[in-house]
Amino acid sequence: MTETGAKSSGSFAELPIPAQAGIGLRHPHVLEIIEHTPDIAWLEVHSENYLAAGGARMRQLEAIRQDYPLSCHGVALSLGSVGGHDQTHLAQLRSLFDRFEPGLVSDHVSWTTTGGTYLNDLLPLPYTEEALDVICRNVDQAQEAFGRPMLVENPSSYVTFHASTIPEWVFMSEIARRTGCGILLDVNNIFVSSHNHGFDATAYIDAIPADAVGEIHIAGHARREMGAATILIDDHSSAPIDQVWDLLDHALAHLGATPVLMEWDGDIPELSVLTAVAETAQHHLDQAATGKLAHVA
Amino acid sequence: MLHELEAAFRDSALAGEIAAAAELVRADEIAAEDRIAVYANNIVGSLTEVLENTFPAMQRHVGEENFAVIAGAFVRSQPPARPRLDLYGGGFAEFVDGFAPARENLPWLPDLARLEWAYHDSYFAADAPRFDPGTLGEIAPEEMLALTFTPHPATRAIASAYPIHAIWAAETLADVTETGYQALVTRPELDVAAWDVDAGGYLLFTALAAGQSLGDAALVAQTEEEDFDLQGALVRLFEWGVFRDG
Repeated sequence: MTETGAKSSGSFAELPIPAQAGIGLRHPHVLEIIEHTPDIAWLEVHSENYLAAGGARMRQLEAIRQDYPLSCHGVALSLGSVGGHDQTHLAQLRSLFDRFEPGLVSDHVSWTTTGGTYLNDLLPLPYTEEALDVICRNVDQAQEAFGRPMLVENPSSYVTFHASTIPEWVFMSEIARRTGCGILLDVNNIFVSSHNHGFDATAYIDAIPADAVGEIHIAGHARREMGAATILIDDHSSAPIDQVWDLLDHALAHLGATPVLMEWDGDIPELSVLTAVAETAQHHLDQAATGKLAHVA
Repeated sequence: MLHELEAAFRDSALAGEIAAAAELVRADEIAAEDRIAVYANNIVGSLTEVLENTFPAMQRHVGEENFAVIAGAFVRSQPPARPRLDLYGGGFAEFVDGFAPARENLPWLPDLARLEWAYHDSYFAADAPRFDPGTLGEIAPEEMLALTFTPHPATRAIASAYPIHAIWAAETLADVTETGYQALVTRPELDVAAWDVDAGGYLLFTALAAGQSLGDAALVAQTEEEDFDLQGALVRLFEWGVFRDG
């Protein structure tokens, strides 16, 4: 029997997240990846899937971490909650990070928990001074509890609030400026929200401070007819559409070389489909690098 | 303001009260209520899906639609209290027990929920080395009955008034044959297993797990099964890996 239960701090080689294309690790692909170690630049897991006391998943993540740079992406930190943090959750995440030493840790600019009820969705914040104060306080406390900096991801949303007074891109930039955290720029979310709320996606990207961005997400989304209108739903159940690839190119031109991650959470296909999307993303990264060099020359 | 907004979203999903949240958001060609409903449906739908994944045998036996009704009622009445989906569903069996439409027609359903939760819970439980029965060779026979054993942290025991293991394993209820009324769920290494166990074996395990000596636990089992085969029962428990080392 191994010392699975023991804290193994410092037992993994340092593997920073490269400015290359990675994929989100999902359960149906784990054993295949452990067995065949396919050529994938890096992997990202949902942190909350790995907080158990023991069992197969924890053992699998140890094997994965031996072979791949790992990013821990949270979905349940609820950084926008006015009631503040679940201290137990913060401590459990810290233990996870200390054990697996991920190259990046992140969560979302949204809220999920209210009054001790966890709603299991990335719910929208109004962009107000109050909400900005709340989320900056929570990001400060999370970074303190984790003992490491984190990235915060721009959300997709289906509503805008009467109360909002701050554009989302300013809200994102302000969180980074006030807390020192980085930004995880999800270009699919920007595309979805720009359609749903009628703003200019490229202007959004241009307004984000390039040196704050530590990671980019790409994904697929769905269209849903609502009466005469169409709403875009961020369902992560398909490959990115052409306009999202275009936005990625725009982001890479603005940001320079940045780690890019493909997320696929619903109707999960064969691993080869995901690695093919990652290859396409890598091609876009390579093109951007070449373009930049040509431009400089 | 943020406080009220959070409560309004929660109530839109869990209490079906969309109006308060809808007042907070802008409407255009899409009504504010319809926009809020996207979130409300996703909250209840995604949590129902979590329960579907944890309780597949229940869903198989009651049907997708009935399961969605029971699960949806549970989600609205007892949403997760922690940001941990792997911990969500521990109260489902008790809820099903108090769910009148199920209790009359499907009296075994709460026990099936207990067994499925035990299986799920075992998967995520702490690791520990399994007990090696080879070490018993060093024990003098006269000291054997004084031995005590520690349950493995991933072992779970379920007793029922129904053939619960057979119900759990059956593809349809017509396949259920009368078997034992107890189940042991184990995970000595990484793979979870559920075992059909007779009353004597179940009593032996639960008495040992409560800290009784092997001799005392055997007496407990004998009161239930007159011709209780201690050695046979113990060998099975060791094979299944219900105890841990140390």
